[in-house]
Amino acid sequence: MTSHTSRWNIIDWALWLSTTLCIPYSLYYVFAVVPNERVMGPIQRIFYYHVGSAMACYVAFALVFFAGIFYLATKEKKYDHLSAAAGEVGFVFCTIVLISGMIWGHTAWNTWFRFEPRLVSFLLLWLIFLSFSLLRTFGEQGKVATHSAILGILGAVTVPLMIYSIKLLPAAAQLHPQVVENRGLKDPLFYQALFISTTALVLLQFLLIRIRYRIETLSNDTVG
Amino acid sequence: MNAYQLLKKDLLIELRSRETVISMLSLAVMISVLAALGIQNSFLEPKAVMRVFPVLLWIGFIFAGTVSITRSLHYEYEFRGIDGVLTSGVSPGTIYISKMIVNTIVSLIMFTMLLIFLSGLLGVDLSGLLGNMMFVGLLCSIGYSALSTLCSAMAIHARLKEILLPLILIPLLFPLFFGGHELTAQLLSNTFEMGSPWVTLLIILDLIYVVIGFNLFEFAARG
Repeated sequence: MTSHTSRWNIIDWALWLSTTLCIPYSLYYVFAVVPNERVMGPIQRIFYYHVGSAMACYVAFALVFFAGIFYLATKEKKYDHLSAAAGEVGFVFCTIVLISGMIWGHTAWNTWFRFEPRLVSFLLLWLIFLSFSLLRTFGEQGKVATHSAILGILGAVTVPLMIYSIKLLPAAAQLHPQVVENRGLKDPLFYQALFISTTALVLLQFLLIRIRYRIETLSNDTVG
Repeated sequence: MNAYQLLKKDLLIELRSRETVISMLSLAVMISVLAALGIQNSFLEPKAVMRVFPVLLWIGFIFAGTVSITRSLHYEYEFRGIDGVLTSGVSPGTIYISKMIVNTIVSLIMFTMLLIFLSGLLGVDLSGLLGNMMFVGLLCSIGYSALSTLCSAMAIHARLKEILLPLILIPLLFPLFFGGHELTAQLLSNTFEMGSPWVTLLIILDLIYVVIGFNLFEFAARG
């Protein structure tokens, strides 16, 4: 076991502190400060965590992509550990996006799931994260790091193309609200709550990735 | 050994063994019969059959292809042929292109048979559409082979090799599936245009996947 992985450094403490401050503050802001949305009522508050988790999921996916490129270029283990950590945490956040979206969708559209472009694109992103996790678990021993780096790159290239391909589907299929793009949030408090909850969730995601990265590094050092 | 000799070798292996093409064709026939039986027993209107035809065609294509596509690489790994080819000075990218071309040819043959069987059994009239159908089939076969050749090199020695390939390949195939499905539906409803954005998307996907496969095959094969 090496000392650099067993001790917390300034980044760990900063992440831990900022996350533990931001999460309760976002809960307070979303549930005590922001007023009810006029049409949807209290269920709309799930929006702040739904969008925040989606942002965290995109960040995790970008990390998987860049860690994959750096691993293939340098073959340094730290990039593989980062890729493994970001892949797992991204999968968790992608699941949160899907579940929160389904709860919201059930209230708004009276159905748990509709084959609508944004919903489908997140479902497919979730499937890519799932296949990434399966490859890491059941892949060829000794080559998993390289293979998962390739899959991360392939997945990251496929996702934008997939979103573009889904947008080519007929307009009748579009149902998901384009809230931010259409400036649908009338009260400035809505934007502030969205910013705070997104920041809190992205920080939480970085903290989880950092913890998972340390576990991966420690277990690798122990095995090695 | 140069690129042409390598391609000739891969084609000859496939022609002599006929493992991939026979297994793919047999699966295509079985899938067609199963799909046709299910549809016939549902008593669907001919118009409804036309609407479900593209879904059945492309699901059949992905299923039959994914089950059989590893054969082309299996030979190389089973008898350590890939080590011999690599030591002869051929670049991994060239090996990838050769395998990909063979897989494209085999996939296109399988697509043609699936198209003929499924349309015949379901009574879908394809007269006058066959040329464009083959064009769509070719575009999808290139992208499909580009991805599956790369992914099968990653899954071939895994613990769950038979099941791991579909698990990592299918999520990546969705843009190709959407493209193939939409263009087939457009062809059947006579709204197909060569300038359709779906055609452009498929061409872009083919190019991207071939370039990625060419550059990353070395890592996938050697680890």
